[in-house]
Amino acid sequence: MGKLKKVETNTFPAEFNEPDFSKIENIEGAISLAETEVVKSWLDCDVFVNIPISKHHMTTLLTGNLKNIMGVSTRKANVHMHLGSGERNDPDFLAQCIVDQNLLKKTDLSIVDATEFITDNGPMGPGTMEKPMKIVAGTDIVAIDALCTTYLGYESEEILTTVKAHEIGIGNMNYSELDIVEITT
Amino acid sequence: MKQYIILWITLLIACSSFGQDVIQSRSLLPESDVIPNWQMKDTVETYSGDDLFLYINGGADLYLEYGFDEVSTCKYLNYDGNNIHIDIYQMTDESAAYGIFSINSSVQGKPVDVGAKSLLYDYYLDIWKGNYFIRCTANRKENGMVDTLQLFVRHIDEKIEIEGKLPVLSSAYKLNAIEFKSVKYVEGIIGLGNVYNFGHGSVAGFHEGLIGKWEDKTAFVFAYENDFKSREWFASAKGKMQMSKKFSDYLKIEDGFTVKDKSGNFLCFKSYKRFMLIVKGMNWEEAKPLFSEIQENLDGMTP
Repeated sequence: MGKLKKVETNTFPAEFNEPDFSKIENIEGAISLAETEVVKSWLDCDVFVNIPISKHHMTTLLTGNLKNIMGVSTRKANVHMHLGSGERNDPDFLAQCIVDQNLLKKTDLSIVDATEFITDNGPMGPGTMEKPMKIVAGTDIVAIDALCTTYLGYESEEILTTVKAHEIGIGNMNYSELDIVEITT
Repeated sequence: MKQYIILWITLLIACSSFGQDVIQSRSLLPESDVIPNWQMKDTVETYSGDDLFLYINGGADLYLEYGFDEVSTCKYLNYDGNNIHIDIYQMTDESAAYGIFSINSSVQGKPVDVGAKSLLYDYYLDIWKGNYFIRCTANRKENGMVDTLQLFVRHIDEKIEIEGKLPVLSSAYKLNAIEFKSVKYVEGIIGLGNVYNFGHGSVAGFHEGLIGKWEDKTAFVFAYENDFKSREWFASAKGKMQMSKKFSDYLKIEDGFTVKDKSGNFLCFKSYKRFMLIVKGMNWEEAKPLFSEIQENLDGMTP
């Protein structure tokens, strides 16, 4: 297993530099994202644990596992996801790009903070708070996003990232088909 | 010669009718010690157009949907180690600036007598004036920091001469029967998605809209380019609502239709001229008088 080191690249806005980032020019199976720039340590790590918060986002409606992966790419790559379709603020293109970038690396474990979050005016807020007080963990990020969507009052079919990730085979949005164990403390 | 004089007079009239030129947002920021004991920490940063994505980590789309020119931002420090952060967003027009102010507003905000509209929260103050939306944020709410926020904002306010007019559509919500707890003005689906989700693409295509909340009810008015577009989008909404898993109990009534959401709330939809009207939380009979009053206001709207 590779030795973990302190990573200094988690700055905003993230800009491409040769030692820390990789430019990917062909993502196998991608539909909209022709190329991207991502943190090398994400691609290289032996075990990838995704720990997002589940909350509202104005364009994708949900930030969760899939959307969180925009956190590993450069600002330039992310701006392209927002504006690159030719139509400004195109939620469909953005969702597809997010899903495409998720094809680069499988999440080994997801732990979602759904304890308290905003259900509107996201991602920055201020917004209406909900407190389901849940932590959701598992290996199927699409199923987990679909489940967390319900805590925000949406149907999983309304979240384009979830639907597209299901269609492309990243996971199963029909979470009720899976064995979910609920532990109360 | 006579022609030149007429040209000059015409130019003078034209210039005076525009009033104050748009001031660059950075020049509105107070210099160090203009507010006693408060120093600028760093130089002012300005981001224009799509570079807003370099400044806002999530949320730039909304500003761009309304119409965004630039933002200037600066942090101020005092001798006690407290800090205040100011963002001055220069939007493309007054409606865009008001829209951003309104979409960021919440019922926790207390109105303050500064700008065209302003709301003070625990540790930050939002104001709208002219083409500008200004957010002034303190690192803490104690030790008179909230009073200092107001000093900063009043200083900025004095430099902006044009007060700003509410969007014309706002007059649709001057209602006798209802006092809205909050009104938000949107110019696209991202703004709408921030407040309510009808389902992907169900309610779209509008160029401006109002969302008013009172009690546990909500009224929406969406304006389209023309009557034809409005009818087209209404038909699309009707089709999508019937198919949606989020809504049930579709019923065509008179010139509109109703559905129920998962919580059992009625949503009443109506097309009127170049507008689509929706009321959530009332059945059709209850919503009818409200529709009528809004329609009268829409008929009386003057730019």
